[in-house]
Amino acid sequence: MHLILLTAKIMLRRAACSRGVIWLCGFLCLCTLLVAPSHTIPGKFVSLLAMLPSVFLITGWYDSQSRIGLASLVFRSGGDKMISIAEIALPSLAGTALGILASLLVKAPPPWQFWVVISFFSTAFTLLFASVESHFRNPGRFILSVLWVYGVKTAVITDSITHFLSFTEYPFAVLTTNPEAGGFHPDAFVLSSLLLLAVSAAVYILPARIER
Amino acid sequence: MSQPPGVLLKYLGISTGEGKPPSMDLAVLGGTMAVLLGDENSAAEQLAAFAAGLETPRKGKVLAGSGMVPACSREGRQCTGYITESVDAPPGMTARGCVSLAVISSTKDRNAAGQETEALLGWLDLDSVSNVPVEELKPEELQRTAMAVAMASSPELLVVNCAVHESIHSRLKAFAQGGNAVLLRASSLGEIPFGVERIALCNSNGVIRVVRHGELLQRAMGGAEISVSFYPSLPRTQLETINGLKNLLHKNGKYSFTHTETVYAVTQIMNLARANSRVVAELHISPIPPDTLIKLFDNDGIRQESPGGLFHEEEGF
Repeated sequence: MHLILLTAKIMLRRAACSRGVIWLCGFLCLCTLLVAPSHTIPGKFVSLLAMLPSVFLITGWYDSQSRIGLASLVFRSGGDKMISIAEIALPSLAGTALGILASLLVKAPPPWQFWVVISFFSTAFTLLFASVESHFRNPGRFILSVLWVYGVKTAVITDSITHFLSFTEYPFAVLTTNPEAGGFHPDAFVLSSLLLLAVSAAVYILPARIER
Repeated sequence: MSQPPGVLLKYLGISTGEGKPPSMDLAVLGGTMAVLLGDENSAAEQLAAFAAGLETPRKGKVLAGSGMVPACSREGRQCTGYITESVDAPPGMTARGCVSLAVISSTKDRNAAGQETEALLGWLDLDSVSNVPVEELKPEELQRTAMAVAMASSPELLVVNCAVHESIHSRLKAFAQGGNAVLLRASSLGEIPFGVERIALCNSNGVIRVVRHGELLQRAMGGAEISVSFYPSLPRTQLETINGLKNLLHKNGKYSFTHTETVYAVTQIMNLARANSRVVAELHISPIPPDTLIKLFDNDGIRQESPGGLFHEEEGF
């Protein structure tokens, strides 16, 4: 537990001292304001806030001296697994909490599906972003950015391709979808976010297993 | 009745690369210190990384600890400590923080962890600098901190992959005397601390010979590698008249050779220059490098009593 808390503290301190990360988070908020259709902006911020802790805490984390040093100190005792748990758990929990708080401002009370989707989505995005940062670097970042912009531009998810591609907007979609107006049923987003979580977990775990 | 010392590290049939001949097998006993001696082109550093479980050999096995588990396994890493000249730590973390974190991650008992941290800091004279960030420590303090971190998991084997500072010689010896083993990597004879029993001479393929420290010192006693050039150039036959000269090479007008009596060799060089009306244009004296030490044990590379006989040279004068 001590190691998990220490990792969380070091992650927070590193991110808060990194001007680049703060600029990036500001840029993402500005982008959402500029790119998203105006009536969807509050909902889009729910999705963004569920992702923002991952972007804030994980960008550059895997290459940082903080991470390398921490892992090196606990390498012999097998404590590196605790670090991995901490670096996934902290952004996931923070993303879930921020997403829930933002959703209360957009639509209170949110549908029950939202509680499931927000927690699955936040964890899935953290796993995906951690994989991109640790294994896939720039190609991964580029693909994720393109998908994110595509998702932000999408006002309503009505077809399967958009549903599949704009996974970064599941929390927004589950809040605003209207099956009677041709939108997906909120249950579809529960299933999709569960699938997204499974795929993200595989993407996170498999490269590490292959390296071993 | 005391138990006989057990083997704490074994290299079995390992190969350091594709298509390379296998390295000689090597075992390190508990209670002893051994050295992997080789220059930067040798496999000594890679062999140290194998022992520390940081790399896995393509062929063969490296077993560590009294349980003889693979060195790269979790159990193998737990019974091995690894010391380098630096400590990888998060920026701003103090020496105490590093040691404490390493100890806490190895034990579940927080109180015992605190006591062990204090004991390690005290044993390695780190009390006065325990609250100094690691990046501000002096090299010798940094190496003692690295040793404290390595000792945190109570290892049976310590792998030291850097030149050992004088301040940890006695601690390494005390650690070995407790029935544990120490494996050091050194790139010159001068880096080998007192108390080391056996030295594994390494080339690019791995260990090629294991010798006793005393034997190596005896062969290289007072020796040096000497490079000299004369103006105008001096015929090779003149250099060959120096008694005890070994491994004479001549390249681009510069002679290099090893000699076990440095002062004698330098005096002879000056005499030769004076007698032949030459000027010594360049003279370098350096410790005998590991690859030349290997040749000291190789009869093909040693000049026997017959002058001009068995020189290890690449071109004539």
